[in-house]
Amino acid sequence: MKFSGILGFVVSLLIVVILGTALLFTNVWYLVLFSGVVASLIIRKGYLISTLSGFLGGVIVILLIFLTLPTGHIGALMVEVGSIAGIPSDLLIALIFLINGGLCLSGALLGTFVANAFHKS
Amino acid sequence: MRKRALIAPIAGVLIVVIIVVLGSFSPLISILNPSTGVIQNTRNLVIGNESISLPGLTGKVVVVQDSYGVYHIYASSTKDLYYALGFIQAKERLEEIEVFGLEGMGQMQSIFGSSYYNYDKFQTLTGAPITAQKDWNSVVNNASVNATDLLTKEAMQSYSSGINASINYSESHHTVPVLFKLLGVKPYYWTPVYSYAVQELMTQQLEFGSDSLQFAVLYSTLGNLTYDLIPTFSPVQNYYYGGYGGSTNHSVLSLSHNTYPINSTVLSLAENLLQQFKYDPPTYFNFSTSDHSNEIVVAGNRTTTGSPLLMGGPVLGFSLPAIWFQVQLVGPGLDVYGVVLPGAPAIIIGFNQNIAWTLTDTQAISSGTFFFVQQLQGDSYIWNGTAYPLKSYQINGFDVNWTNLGPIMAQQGNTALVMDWIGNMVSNEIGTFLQIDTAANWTQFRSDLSSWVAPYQNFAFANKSMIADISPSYYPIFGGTAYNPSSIMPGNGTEYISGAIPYNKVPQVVNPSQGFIVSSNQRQVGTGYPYWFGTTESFSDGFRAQMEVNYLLNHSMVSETNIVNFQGTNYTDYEAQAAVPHILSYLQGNTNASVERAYSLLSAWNYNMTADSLAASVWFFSYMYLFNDTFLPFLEQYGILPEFNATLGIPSGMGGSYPNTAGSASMEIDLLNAILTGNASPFSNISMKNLVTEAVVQAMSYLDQKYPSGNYSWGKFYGFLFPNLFGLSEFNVGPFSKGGDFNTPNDASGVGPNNYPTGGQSWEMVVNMSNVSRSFGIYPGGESEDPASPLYANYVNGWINGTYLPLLYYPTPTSIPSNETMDTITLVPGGS
Repeated sequence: MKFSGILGFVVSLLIVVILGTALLFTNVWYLVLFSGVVASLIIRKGYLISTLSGFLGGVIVILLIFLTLPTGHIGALMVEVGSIAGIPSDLLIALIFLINGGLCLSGALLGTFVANAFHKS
Repeated sequence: MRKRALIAPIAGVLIVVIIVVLGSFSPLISILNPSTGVIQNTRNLVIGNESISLPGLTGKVVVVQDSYGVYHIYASSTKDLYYALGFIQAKERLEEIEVFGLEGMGQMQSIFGSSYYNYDKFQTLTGAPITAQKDWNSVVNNASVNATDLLTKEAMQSYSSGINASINYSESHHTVPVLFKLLGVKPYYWTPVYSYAVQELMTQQLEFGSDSLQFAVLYSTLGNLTYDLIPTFSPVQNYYYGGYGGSTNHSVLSLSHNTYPINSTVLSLAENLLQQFKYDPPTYFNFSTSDHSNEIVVAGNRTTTGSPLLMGGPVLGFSLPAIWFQVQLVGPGLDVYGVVLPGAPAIIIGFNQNIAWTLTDTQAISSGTFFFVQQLQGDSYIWNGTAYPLKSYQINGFDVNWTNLGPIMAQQGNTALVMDWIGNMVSNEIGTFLQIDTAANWTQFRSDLSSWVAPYQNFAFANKSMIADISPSYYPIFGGTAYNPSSIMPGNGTEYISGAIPYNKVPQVVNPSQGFIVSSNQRQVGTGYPYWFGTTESFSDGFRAQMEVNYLLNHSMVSETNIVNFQGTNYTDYEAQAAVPHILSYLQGNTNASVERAYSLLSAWNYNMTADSLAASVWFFSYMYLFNDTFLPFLEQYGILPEFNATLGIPSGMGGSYPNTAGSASMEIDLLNAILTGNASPFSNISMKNLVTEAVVQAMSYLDQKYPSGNYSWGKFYGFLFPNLFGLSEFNVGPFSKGGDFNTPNDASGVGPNNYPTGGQSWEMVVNMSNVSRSFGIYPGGESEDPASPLYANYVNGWINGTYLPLLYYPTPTSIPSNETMDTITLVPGGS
């Protein structure tokens, strides 16, 4: 499919967000990686757009998940978890975003590499 | 392909590898998993109406959480009622319930690791897990012929199903409590055997100890001086709710003064076993403290309402979550309000439409734990010259051998120290509570208690027209050539438990002419009681009870508010009241400047241990130094200290207030007697005048050094701390300054700021029998075990301030006003 740069980014972002959210419902976190792979294979706009949309999409997925939860209690709960784990609660929350963004991003990198390889062959 | 083209995919793979490695070697990934990790637990914190479909329910159950957070459960069948109780309690307290079960069964290692090896081993050795299984087997086997067992079986199975339904529900909704997620373990499924393990655990908390071993060690060194240090009867107690205050029963005294002499092998075994007792309770999840409690019942002719009032205040170790869970249970033939334990589906202390009751631990009688020396021969033990095979068990991976008397706790060669612990008798105290919950009068109540075995408890009772108290239990009578049961006894068959004190002779009283009953761990029966009932070696010296008696004698008419205020914020120290006038007489005329200051403060004091009192600090520390100066040189002179420091502990006054010391009720009694009589012998040849003067000088020096400004008010040394049950100090609450000391209703002592008491009245309740709906109570904690919940510690401030909550008691869910409702949970049959 042919997309302009911005449209490609938006479509890629949407794929990551929708597919990533769906994959999270399998409860296997690592699978969100495939949202990045699929988006980059479909869009094929190079590393810059796929990594940006992959990481940002991963972050948005977490925001969406948070919206399904009673957000008013997240702070108190993470303070509790952070105290027990010996990790600041802010860092724990940041880690959720970073890990999810990282998984989507790595999927995007791999997907783009595969897309490029096929394109050249 | 250019090398540069590989950088991106390698980076992608690297990110994945890092995350996978992180997830493999730490629980971080599973904890942070957005769809199954801890973030999902925010759903548990929502307070709001909901409907939950549960498999196993047969009808709708309505659960109303009132505006204070207390649950009211309304069911149309008994099974559904206890199922719902299990579900709701586990919803709020699953971590606590599971820890109680593991602790009782000696299976802590299964979740908390090998650091609990010694605890699990000792707990298994005591027999608690074996007896828990036997208790449940007995209930199942007798359910067809015994109404209590039938009710118990039904309630226990339904309650277990409710807990397990909660586990399944939380797993399917990814809301398993945070502790399990962080530890990376799944909650285990509950069975009634675990409930009996909780029964065993509570019996251990209240009726299990090494007093007899300590007595034996002391006697081996002090000989007959032990009877001075640990007198059979208190020389200062004069109130016995069960009567028998007449002349001393000499056969009982003779028995107490006939201690079996132990040889060096047995002494060594006793010392070894005393060390092992330190494994119980465990380092964490430790809810043990001085188990003092208070109960008062006042007859209608002494109350402003014209009907009896009942005050309950069980003193247990504090924790967050608290040991108690407050509920109203309404089902067929049942409408009861009160508090339940984690893992036990019955109201332990509370009231129904007709009666109210509360419990206190009894004084002495060797903590229901008796030790015998038995000879072994291979896999047999010797009894009356005949060899009988040992009974061997393999429990929790440990080998346990029992003789006819109980488990072998320590062994050297053929000599074994065997424990006959009353908690190892097969019994069904949970079933007794289930019956009590529905009792309508004293006859039923007393009848229900007739099968009670352990722990040794006083049950205060009130209905609309009468008051009573009874201490039902299996109090052993010793047959054969009887030696002092407070020490180690011969286990060759010459001495044995031949039966128990008959039920109509156990301590009890109904409608006493005084118009009140006080039972606060003091000895219940006087020196004329015809049965051996222990010695003063105990956790309680009885001074609180005397203070409560004095209050009631001075207040001929009391209201509910009077009793609430008395229980929550009366800080009168009876021992100070009795001793300080004598102490002042010893100090009179002394011109030492610090003694003069102490004299001035103490002579103007009203004996109240209020937080702002300077005199209270002077009294407390003077008493502590006096205790040490009187007893420690004596114990050192006979080699008890320092030789037995590790096994006996170093005694200190006020229940062992100083860190790393032990309390001794006997020595507290000895010291007060010495102050009153002016004679400290045989413990000290120094005159009381000199002992007291020196103690006061030391106390003033200590206080001046600690607070040079002179502001050494009692609140600087005393207050309350509420520790997190799971050892997570971040979630401790307090310390809070509050008055009181070892001799007041909130009877723990401390020498803060780092040693604040972590125990006290764990449930304060005043029931108004003219209208039970106008009753009040509070416990220091909250209904939720989750530190992130607003219901984690919401009762603590009220407890500290003595502000009790109304105990809302409504017969139906629709009768609860909406402004008194926090939320409603409807449980309906369904789901899978």
